[in-house]
Amino acid sequence: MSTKTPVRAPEKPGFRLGQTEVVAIVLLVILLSQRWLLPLLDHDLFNTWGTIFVAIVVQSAPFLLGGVLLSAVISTFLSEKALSKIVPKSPALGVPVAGLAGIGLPGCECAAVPVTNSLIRRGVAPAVALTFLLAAPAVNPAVLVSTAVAFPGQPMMVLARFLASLITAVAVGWIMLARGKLLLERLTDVGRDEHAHDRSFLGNVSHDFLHASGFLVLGAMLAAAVNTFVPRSVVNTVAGQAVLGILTLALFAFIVALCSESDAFVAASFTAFSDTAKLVFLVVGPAMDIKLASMEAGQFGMGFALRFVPLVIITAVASAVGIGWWLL
Amino acid sequence: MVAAVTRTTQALVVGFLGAVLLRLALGDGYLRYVTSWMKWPLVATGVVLLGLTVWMLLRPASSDHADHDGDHDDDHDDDHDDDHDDDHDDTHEHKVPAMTWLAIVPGVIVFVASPPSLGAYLAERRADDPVAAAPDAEILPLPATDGPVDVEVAEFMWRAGVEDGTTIKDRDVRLTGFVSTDENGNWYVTRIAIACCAADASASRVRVEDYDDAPERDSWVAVTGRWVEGTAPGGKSETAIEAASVEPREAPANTYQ
Repeated sequence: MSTKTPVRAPEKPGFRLGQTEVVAIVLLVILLSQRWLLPLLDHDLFNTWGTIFVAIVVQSAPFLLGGVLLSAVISTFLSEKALSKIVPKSPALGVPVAGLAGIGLPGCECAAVPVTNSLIRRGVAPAVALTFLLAAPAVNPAVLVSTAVAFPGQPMMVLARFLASLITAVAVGWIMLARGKLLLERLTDVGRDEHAHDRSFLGNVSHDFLHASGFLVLGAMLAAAVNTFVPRSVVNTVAGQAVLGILTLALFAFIVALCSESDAFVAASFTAFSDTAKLVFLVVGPAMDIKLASMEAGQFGMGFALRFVPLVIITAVASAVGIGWWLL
Repeated sequence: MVAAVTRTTQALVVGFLGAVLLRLALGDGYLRYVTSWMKWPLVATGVVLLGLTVWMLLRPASSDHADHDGDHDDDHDDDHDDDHDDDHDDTHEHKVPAMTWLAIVPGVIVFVASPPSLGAYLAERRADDPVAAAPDAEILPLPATDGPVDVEVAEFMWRAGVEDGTTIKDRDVRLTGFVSTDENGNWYVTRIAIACCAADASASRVRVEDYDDAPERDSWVAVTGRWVEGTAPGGKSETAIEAASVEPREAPANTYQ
C-alpha cells in the first residue's frame, strides 16, 4: 500500500475535487435552505418536503435492497448458460417473454433497475433486459390488485393498465432491437463491468447498493419537491381539455414519481380528468419517472438515459391513449 | 491510506442508512412516513445493511479482489473511491459514483429535522382535491348504539354523499382527527390517508359548525355531533358536522388512515 500511494498521488487531487464539489454543493444547499429559505418560505413547507422525501426513501429502501440482492444472485451464481436456457435465443422473441416475466417480480421500480443491470452483465440482450425493466413495476399482481381497489367497479381500468403497460414495454424493446443501435451503444457503464461475476456475492451487493442508492435519493429529493411545491389544483385546471389533460398527467406522473403500488389511488382522485388521461398517468409512472430516470442515468450512463427516457414516455403515452380509446 | 479511508467512508454511508432505517422501524418513527406493514421489511433492510457495513469494514483490502484482480492488482485500491470520473480507464471495478454521498441525506434530515407526520399544512393545501369515492359495496347502516358512533372522517364524508346521507342522518357520531383551518375562519376535523407512503397522501376533512373556539391547529380532537343535512363532498356546501362537544385527544402513534 505504501508503495502505491506515491504513484497515485498526482491523480488524487483531480478526483477529490469532483467528489468534494458534489458533497460541498449538497451541504451548501442544505445549509443555505435552512438559513435563508426557511424563514422566508415557512417551516411547514420544509417539513412537508422532508416528510415526503424521507417517506419515498424509506418506502423504496427495502425494495431497492431486495432488487440488489436478486441482482447479486444473478451476477454471482447464475451462469450465462443457465440464463440462456431461460431467455429465448432470439431477442425478438425474448422481448415479449421478458415483458411477461415482469409479472413475476412484485416490487417497486427501484428494484428492477439493479436487476436489469445484472441481466445485461450476464449477457442478456439489452433490449430484452430493458423490456423487463419497463414491465416489472407495471404488470405485477400487487400493482393490478391495488389498481382494482382504487377503481372499484371499473375492472376495465385494470385490464387497460395491464395491456397498455405490457405493450409499452414490448414496443420499446422491439424499437431498440430494430433501430436502437445508437441507443444501445450508449449503454456505457454496464458492459464494462466485467468483474461482476468474479466478485463475491457481498461484493456485488455493496457495489450495486452504493451505485444505486445515491441516484434513488436524488430522484426522491426532486419528486418530493414537486409533490410539495406544485399544488394539485394547478394540475386540475387543465382537466377539461382532452389533449392537454393527457399531456399534463403524463408529465405529472413523471415528476411526482409515486410507487406503482400506490399511484392508482392518486390517479383515482383526479376525478375531473378523462379515464384515458388517468390511464396515461398509470402507464407512464411505473415505466418512467424522475426517480427512475435518475437511477438509470446512474446505472446505464447519462447519454443512454437522455434517449431512453423520452422514448419510453412517448411510447407509454401512445400505448395508453390507444388502449384507453379502445377499452375505456 | 487514502483509499482505505474512502472505503471506510463507503461502509459508513451504508451503515448510517441502515441504522436510520432500523431506528425508525423499531420505534414509531416510521409511521410518520410509511404504512404499518413496512415495519418488518424496514427492520430486515436495516439489519442487512448493518451486516453489509461490518463486512465492508472487515474485509481485507485484497480479499474481494485476489481471485480476479490479478492483472491490475496495483490499482485495486482506488477503484473504490471515486473513479466515476470519465477520464478513468476502464480496468477498474467497484465504481462508486459521487452521487453515493447523497445517501447520507435522508439520515441527516431524519436526525436533524425529524420531519413530523403530515398535518394541517398539507391538508389545507390539498383541501380542494377530490376525495376517494364511496366503496362500491352496499353501504351498511351504522351500528345501533345509544351513545355516539365512532366514524372515520373519510367514511363520514362518503356517507354524506350517498343516498342523501340517510345512513348518518340524525345519528350522534364522533369524528377523531387533527385541526386544520381555512382563510374564512372555519375549522375542520381532518385526517390524512396514505396508501403506500406519505408521497401519496390525501386529506379528508369535515367542517365543524356551532363551535367557535377553534382548538389549536394540528392538535388532535374528538368531535361529537350530528351531520349538517345537505352538506356533502362536491355539493353546494362542504361536509359539515354540528358539534355538541369537542374534546382534546392525544395524537395517535399512527396519524394516517
